[in-house]
Amino acid sequence: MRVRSEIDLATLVRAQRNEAAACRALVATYEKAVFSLLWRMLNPKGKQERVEDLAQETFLRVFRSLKTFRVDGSARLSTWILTIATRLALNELRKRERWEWFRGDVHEFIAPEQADEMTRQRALAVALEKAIHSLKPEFRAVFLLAEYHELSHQEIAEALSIRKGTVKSRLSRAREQINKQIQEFL
Amino acid sequence: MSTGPEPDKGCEELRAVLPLYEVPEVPETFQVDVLAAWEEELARSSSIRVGFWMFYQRWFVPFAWVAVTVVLLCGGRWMFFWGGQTEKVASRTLHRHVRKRPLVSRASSDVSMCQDVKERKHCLQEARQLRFFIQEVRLDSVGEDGASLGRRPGTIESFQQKMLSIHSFVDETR
Repeated sequence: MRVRSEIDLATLVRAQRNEAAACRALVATYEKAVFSLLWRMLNPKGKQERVEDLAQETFLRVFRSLKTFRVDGSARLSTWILTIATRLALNELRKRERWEWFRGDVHEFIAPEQADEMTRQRALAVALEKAIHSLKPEFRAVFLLAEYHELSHQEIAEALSIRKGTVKSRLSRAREQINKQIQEFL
Repeated sequence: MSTGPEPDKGCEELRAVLPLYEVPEVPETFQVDVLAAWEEELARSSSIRVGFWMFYQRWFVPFAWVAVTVVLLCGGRWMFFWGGQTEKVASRTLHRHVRKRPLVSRASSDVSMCQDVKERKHCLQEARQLRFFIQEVRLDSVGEDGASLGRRPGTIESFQQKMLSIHSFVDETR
């Protein structure tokens, strides 16, 4: 299993004191995770700058509240940052219905039986993307946090303020739905 | 501490294809942009704090004394004249009340004829308010002749009679 990278304690303490180098290290460590989470949550389709804005807003909120983050607490900094990013993304999705959803049928792009390996992989990627974005935002958030960012059920429950049982059921239904949609490409 | 996602054997196949959903690289300028925005925010909040402190030191503290002195002087003047003004103010208030609100006639005569419970309740409430008002400003101090109200003696007399009927009505219905 991939281990999530975390900044060391000394850097975190220095970042809490607003030291520029430590803040830079913090952004460098978590920017990829934040950016990819927001990207997959919002599926911007040509609106990359909106994802960048939200990623920037995530880090500004992190810096504003970093002093309140308990170094000796149970939460990991990465979980805390991803929580902020997820909530921002969910708010954005609630606020703006005009995100262009990826609803086309995969068969429109390529028929699996005609495809060679490369195009089959491509079709699978498209199908996967489509399947993830056909999930409701709350289900998508659970799925992405669990599968792409390796948060535990408990961490996801705390991040989204829902019960652990709800996380399990949402995750299970999300997997089931995605599996169903990509099955023919596997 | 968390231990990562719980194992689920049913989704191994799915996990194998997850990396196919790629996301673009983080823009190179992102880090610089974030830090610049944060520094700007820090500078802004710092300048607001400094500005407030300077305002407090240079303007608020000296002028607060002036403001307190003015308030005390005005308050003292008001208190000084208040004693002499009380009766006049009371008369004026009562005058306004009698002229503008048809409470007296409604409360004294109509209230007993009210068939509707709601209306009756409303009249009763008004009567109580009026009685409270009369007690507060001490109707007796207005004078029998009604001069201070600018009314003829008869008006005041009838007013007082109506008030008596309100009193008894309120007492009866209590």
